[in-house]
Parts: sequence; C-alpha cells; structure tokens
Amino acid sequence: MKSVENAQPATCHHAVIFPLRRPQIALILLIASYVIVFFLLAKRAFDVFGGDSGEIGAVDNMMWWTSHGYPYRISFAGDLSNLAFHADFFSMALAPVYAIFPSPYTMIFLQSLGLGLAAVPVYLIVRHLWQDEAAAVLMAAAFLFLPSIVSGNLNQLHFITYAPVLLLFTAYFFVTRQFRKFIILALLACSVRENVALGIGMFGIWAWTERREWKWRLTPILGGAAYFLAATQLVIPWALHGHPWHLGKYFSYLGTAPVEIATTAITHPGLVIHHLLSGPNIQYFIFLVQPIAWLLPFGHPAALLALPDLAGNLLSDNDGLKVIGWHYQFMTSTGLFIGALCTMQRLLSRLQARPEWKGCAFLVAAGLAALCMSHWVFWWQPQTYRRLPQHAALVRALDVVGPDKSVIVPDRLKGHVSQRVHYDGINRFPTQTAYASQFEYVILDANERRYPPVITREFFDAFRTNLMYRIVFAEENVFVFQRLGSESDWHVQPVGLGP
Amino acid sequence: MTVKKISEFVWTNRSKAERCLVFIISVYVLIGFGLGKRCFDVFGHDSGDMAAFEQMMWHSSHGRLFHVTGMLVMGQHKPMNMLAIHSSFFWIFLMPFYVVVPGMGTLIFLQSAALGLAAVPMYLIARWVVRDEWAAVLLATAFILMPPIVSQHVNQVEEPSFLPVLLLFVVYFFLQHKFRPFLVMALVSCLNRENVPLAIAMFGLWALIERRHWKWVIAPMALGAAYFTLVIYVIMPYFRQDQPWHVTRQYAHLGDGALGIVTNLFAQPQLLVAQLFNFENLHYLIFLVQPMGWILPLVNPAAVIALPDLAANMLSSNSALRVIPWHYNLITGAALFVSLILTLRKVSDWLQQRGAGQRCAQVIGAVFVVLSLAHWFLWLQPQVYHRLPRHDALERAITVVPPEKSVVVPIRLIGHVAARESVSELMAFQNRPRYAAMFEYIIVDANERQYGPPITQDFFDKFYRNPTYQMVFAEENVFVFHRLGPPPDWSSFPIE
Repeated sequence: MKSVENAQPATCHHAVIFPLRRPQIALILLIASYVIVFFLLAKRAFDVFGGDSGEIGAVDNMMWWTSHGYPYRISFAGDLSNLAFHADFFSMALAPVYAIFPSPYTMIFLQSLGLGLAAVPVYLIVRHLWQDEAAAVLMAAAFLFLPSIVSGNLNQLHFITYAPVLLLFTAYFFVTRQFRKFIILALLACSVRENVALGIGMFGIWAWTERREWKWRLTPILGGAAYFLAATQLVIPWALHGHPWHLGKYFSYLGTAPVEIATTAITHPGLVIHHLLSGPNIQYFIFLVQPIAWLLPFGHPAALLALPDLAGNLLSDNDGLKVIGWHYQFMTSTGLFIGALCTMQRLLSRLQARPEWKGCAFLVAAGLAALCMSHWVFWWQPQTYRRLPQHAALVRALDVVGPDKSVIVPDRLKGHVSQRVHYDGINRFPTQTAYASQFEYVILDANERRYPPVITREFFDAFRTNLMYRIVFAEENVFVFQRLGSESDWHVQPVGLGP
Repeated sequence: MTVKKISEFVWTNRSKAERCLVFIISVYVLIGFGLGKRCFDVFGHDSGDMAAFEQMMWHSSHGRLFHVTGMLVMGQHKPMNMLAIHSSFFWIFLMPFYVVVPGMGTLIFLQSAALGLAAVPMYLIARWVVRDEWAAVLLATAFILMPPIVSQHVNQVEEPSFLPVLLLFVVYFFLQHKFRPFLVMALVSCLNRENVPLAIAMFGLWALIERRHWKWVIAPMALGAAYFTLVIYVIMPYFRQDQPWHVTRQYAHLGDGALGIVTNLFAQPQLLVAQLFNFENLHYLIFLVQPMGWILPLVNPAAVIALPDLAANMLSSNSALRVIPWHYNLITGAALFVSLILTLRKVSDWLQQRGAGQRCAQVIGAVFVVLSLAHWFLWLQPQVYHRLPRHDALERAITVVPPEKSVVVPIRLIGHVAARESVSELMAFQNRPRYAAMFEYIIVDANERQYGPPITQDFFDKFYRNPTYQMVFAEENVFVFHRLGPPPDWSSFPIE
C-alpha cells in the first residue's frame, strides 16, 4: 500500500547489497519462481511425452537449421521456410542463445523467461498509473497468471509468446511519453509476428483520444500499417512461392482471398453479425474477459490494442483461435489487460483522493490477482505431467533411430527428433503416402488413443507385412520399422503447410 | 400485519444499503426461479429428486405424511417413507404453501426464495463483523452467488437448499450471544436433515475455542448429539423397516459400521489418509474454497461447523458428494463463508492499522462478489435451458396418461407426472422388473442419450411386441404404452 512517493528502500540485509525496495525484491522473486516453476512444468510435459510436441519440433527444427546456416528453414514444409507461415523476425534474436545451447529445453526456458519478464513492464505501468508499488507487484502477478498468458508456458513453443513483454514495454513508454523508446519497442514488438503491427497501429488511435501531439497519433498508425502491409504483401508472399497463405482458410464463410473476405463482410453484414453472436464466440469472449473482471478493460481506449486480434479471432471460423489456452490470445489479453489497468487508474484516481478509500488499490490488485489465479482450470491439465505406461518403450524406441536418420514419428515424439534434416509426423502416411515412404525409420505407438492416425490392424500391417520394411524394435506396443533399400532422393515434397 | 407495515419493515424503514439488498434478493430470487422453472419446463435434466419431493407433498396433502412410491434406493424391497431416507421434518413447514398452490412451480419458487433470503442473515452477520453496511451487502451478495448456493436454483428441489437461511441465523445469534434464539434456530435447523445436528454440535467446539460460558459449549453439543442419535438410531430405522440405509454403503470401504470406521481410524489410519488426500478430494476442496480466497475461510474457528459435512463428503466413496453444484455443499459453503467473513474482519483491521481507509471493506466485498460470479462455469450449463427437439412430443405423451393412473417414465419426465398415487422411473425395468411391470402406463423416449436405460431394440420390443401392452402414442420416437389387464395391487410389493 505504500505509494511511490513514500516508498523507502527495504531495511533488510538485501537492501544493503542491492538498492531495491521490498516490492521490487518481491517482483524479482515472483519472476524467478515463475520462470523456474513453469520451465520445469513444461520440461516435464515434454519429457514424459505429455501431449502433441509438433510445435516444439517445428521451433526446435527451425532453430537447428538456423544454427546450421539455413535461417527459417523447416524440415516438414518442403521448399517453404517458416516465413511462409509468419513474419517472426524476432526469432533470429534467439538464435545465438540456441547456437550455444542447441536443445528444445533452451527454447522452453527462453519462452518461460520471456513470459516471466512481462511482469516488469506491468509493474512499471501500474506503479506509474496507480502510484502504489505493492499493487504493482500484485498486478504483475495477475498478468503472469492470466489464463491466456500462463498457458503459453505449457502450450508447446511459439514465438508469439514474446509479444506481451515487448508490447507492454511499448505501452509503458507510451504512457510515460518516451517517444523514441516507444518507437524502438514498437518496432521490436512488430518483429515478433505480422499481426502485432495492427496492435501497434492502435496506439495511434489511443493517442488520438488523448489528443496527443501528431507524432504520437500518426507514427504508430502509419508505421503499423506499413509494417503489416510489408509483412503480409511482400515478405510472406515471397516466402510462399505462390502457395496460398494458411490464414486464408480461417474465414471460409466469407471467402478465401483478403479482398473477397472484406467484400463479403461489407456486403453481407448479417453473415458477420450472425457469426459474431454464435455460441462459441460468446463463450470465448466471456472466458477471455472474465479474469480481468469482464467490463473493466473496456473503460479506456487502451483496450483498442486488443481489437485487431480480437476481431480476427471472433470473425474466424477456425475454433482453434477461440481456445483460451492456445497461442492466439497474447495480443488480445495483453491489450485488454492494459485497458483494465488504465480503466482502474481512472477509478482509483477518484477514490484514492478521499481518505476513507486510501489503500484500496492494493485490495483491487489482490482481488484481480486472485481472480486471474482462480482460472487455473483453463490451463492446468495434470494428466500431461504423468508418465505414460509405455514411456520407457518410447524412450528406447527413440534410441534405436540414429541421430542423422530420417524418421517419421507419432505427434507426441516430434519434438524429440526434430534436430535432423528429415523428420515428420506419422499422420503423413494416410494423407501423403509417397512422401512419407521416403523416410528411413518409422516409429509407431499402437497405444496412442489421442492423436491420429488410428493405429488399426491394416495400418500396422502396412509396415509389418510390407517387404520394404523390417521391424527393428517391438516393446509394449511400440514399434520401430526400418525401411530397406537405398537412401531417398527426397524427390517427393510434402503438400500443404503446417506441421 | 398490514401491507403498509410489511412495506415499512421491508423497504421504508431500511437504509439505502438495506434497500439495495432487498432489490438484489428480489432480482436473485426471480432470476433463480426463472432458471429453475425453465430447466424443469424444457425437460432440461434429471427430475428424479423433484419428483420424489413433489410426490411426498402430494401424498402428505392427501393425508399420508412423507409417503413416496417413486424413490428407488439400492437394497430397497418395500415402499419407503421419505423419513426412512432423510429425516427431513422441515418439509412440514412448506406443506401449507403446497396445499394452497400445488405444483412443482411452488416448490421451485420456495427453494429460490429460501436461497435468496439466506442473504439476510449473512448480511446481519457481515454487518456485525465488518461494521460497514455496504460491505455487508456486498458480502451477502457474494454468498448467495457462491457456486454451492446459487447452483441450487437449477439443481432440482432438495431440502438442504432451505438450510442456509436457518443455519446462518443460528450463527448470527451465536455471534450476538443470544442463547435462547440460538437454541430455537438450532433446533429448527436440525429438522432439515439428519446431518445438520452434527454441524450444530460444532458450535460447542467453536464456543470452547472462544472460551465462552459452559452453556454455549454443552448445549449445542448435547442438542446435536441427542438429535443425531434419535434420528439415526430410532426414527429413521423405524421408517426403514429393516431395510438398509443407502448412506452406510458409501463408507463401507472405511470399515464395517460406525464402530468399524472408528476402529480403523486408529488401526489403519493410512486408509483414511489415502481417501482424504486423493486427487478427486483435492480437486473438490480447491473448487469449494476458491471463490472464498482459498485459505481465508480455513483460518477461523467458525470453519469447524463445516467439518462434519466436509469430512463426510471427502470420506465417502460416492463421488456425487464432491460435485460442487449438487446439494451436498450447503452447510460447508455457508460455514466456510462465515469463517471467511470473520477472517476478513482481522484482515480489514490489519489494513486499517497500516493506514488503509475505512471503506476498504467495501472493496473486499466487491472482490468476493466478482470471485463468486466468476465461478458460474461450475453450475451454469446453457444446454439445459434449450428445448429438446422432441419437446412437443414429450408434452403430448404426458397428456395421454390420465392423471390418476400409475406411470413409469424417463427420468427427465418424472417430475412432471409426480403428483399422483404411483410413479416410477424407467430404470425400474432394469432394477425391479416385476415392480415396474405393475404400472399401467409406460412412456419411452427413444431419443434419450444422457440417462439410462439405453433404449435398445430389445428394450423397446419388451413393450412393442408384448401382447399385455398396447401402444397408444408414437411421435418423434416418443412412445406411450398402456398395460392391458386389471389395475395394480400396490399392497403386494414384489420382492426382487
């Protein structure tokens, strides 16, 4: 409850060594424990094959190729690089760390670190706006435990998880009116993914509502728009080599091309409204805003930062974008959280002027932190951390395949075989048999019930009774088949984007 | 009491905060009743318990107190009186309302009203504890929005829903040191169900911790123990007529009878520990205390009132007792919330000593309203308010059966046909086929996928190809069969 003006350095021994106040020490402890705990949880889930590791494999594989001199290359996308999916230039900033410690664990740790460090700008913003350091630490904790943020630690690997820390620093420099730093951080944030630029553009509208100088209004709007156009009209199409962008499929009820989507949306507004008010959209929206007290974010124009991604998620007919625990909410929840902080600042500035309301910022922050933490059901899945009964067999099966050999594996194992030239998921067999048949090894887990393909007798016999394959490992319904014959020339490329 | 006096008592003589509470309770009761009624009207879910209570009220209003025919309990081989299952004498107080306006709507409304009125004693408790009217209004609102409480509007009709308002008055008089009203309310609370006296006995323990005068220690313990012994060992066995009590089965894994369980407590404590700390129990406990700030309700002696029910729920092999929106958490929810309020007083005092303003209690109250509301996903299931595709066919099927005839129906429908002499659910054909075969009408909904029995071709053909049954209705896979032959002789209950 100490206001910033009254705040004194801590009298404990630490204060002699570090010139830190108690709230700052608490913040550091919070971040450190958060990063360690969630890194260990994510590592555990990965180690026990707790779920699909396709995205872990994709990131690890791209970084592996990058450290071998092929930036953005990914094994499973044929002639397409990762830039064909997303303009995530920020990933290259992580490449030096990966080059020193080449492992998926490095990326898992960096991801948790990136999410944990987002507490710093939240703390700075709240301290600046609410003038209460203890409340600032609690709000930092609230942000870290927002379901859509904390789930980022445990939902495989995605570069977009670095957006919150950069966007929040951008917002901090915006509210403290430090223009140059704002621009630098905005540019850095844009480099994470193409959609971040649209969020950055919203700072211009926010500045407009505050009637700031023209540079605050025009630079984010023009800069954001320019960056977005450059990324989506130049970089990604260049990397796509004429293939369609996968996002085109996300609005299928409106069309496939951007112009067609926009035209249909304008000429058939009923279609859009009907879609917006559908059950999944309403549920998604409620679950998204509930941990930030429902309407609280919308009392301030800062919530506009969430608007582009929120509109995209709501308008899309891809229900994956509406899953709170997946990686589509980093812009929406960060923007809405900033909106909530600013709205609360307006309310608190009125209340705290009266002595009988003194100290209520701390209680509000404690309440919001409790609210965010109470939504653990959205991201905590205990079964993900339990060893599978066939765990030891899966580990031994992986050991059978040489590190330089091409291999096709179940989804759970992808992240464990991604540091090689050729690897892919076993689901390629039913869909792209000619491509899948080029791999030298096939790992098959007949215990799998969650991820496709279904291991039927016919599917199993496609290898067991096939003279082109010989079984080299068979334990607890886990099998490794080795393809006989010469090295593949890889003349058949995978069709379609995505792991 | 004239209307004017009532209006003065409820509204005119009230402060702004209290008027706000009256408004909140009114809206809460109306919405809760609306949701409960809608769910019932659209056959949204199982209405078995509703049917049991409506049938009991119907029989009682026809001179057969607490009589039911529709209750089917494992091991039962004779028709049971409701008092054989739960010692819920409290229903007597509701009978006048049912006699005046008979129907399920009356019971649903009375339940919603009781849940809403629980905000009154909670407000009085909070006002006395935190000394802030608006904070008390917020905390009372948070209480009635807590998942174990608010969920009862939409979880059929059950007698524990009428308990919080009574139990909280017991707490209020306990806190006020008003001994006689405390004892009177404690006794009235005991009439609700056989487990309530155990909670009442805990007031003695609370008084002991607070080092109150001996009468506060002895009286609730003696009352609770005596009442509990009377109903468990005298009244309920009398009505069960040597049939087993379904509750004892839920603790069989801990020992043979009460003595066996107590013996095992010392001889095999690992049995108890393993049961208490299993994953399901932890999950239940977290969801129970989470809307109250996790550990906050556990650090005040008032939490001991929740202890008997909490222990019973956590030690039972019946996982239904750990379902937050069902009717097993009204004592735990109410007691833990009282404990929370008493803890908040200390928190509020601590904050004010450190310079916080006097109105901080209101912020705390608001925080708990938000926390309670945010847990709506534990009890609100939108699909139970949607009309089923075959809704009209189900309604027409019900009208085919004359009101005085005995009927076996799917469990969704049983609440709609309960106001009659004999009714049972379709599962009776699996559990007690000879008993079920006595009924004159059978309604079969072959669209049903959620509740048993599965309507297989074989099951359907039991009636369709049976010459003793005549199909009298068939629409949208909903069928009514009429048993031919003489009316049933209910005096000969078949042993199966």
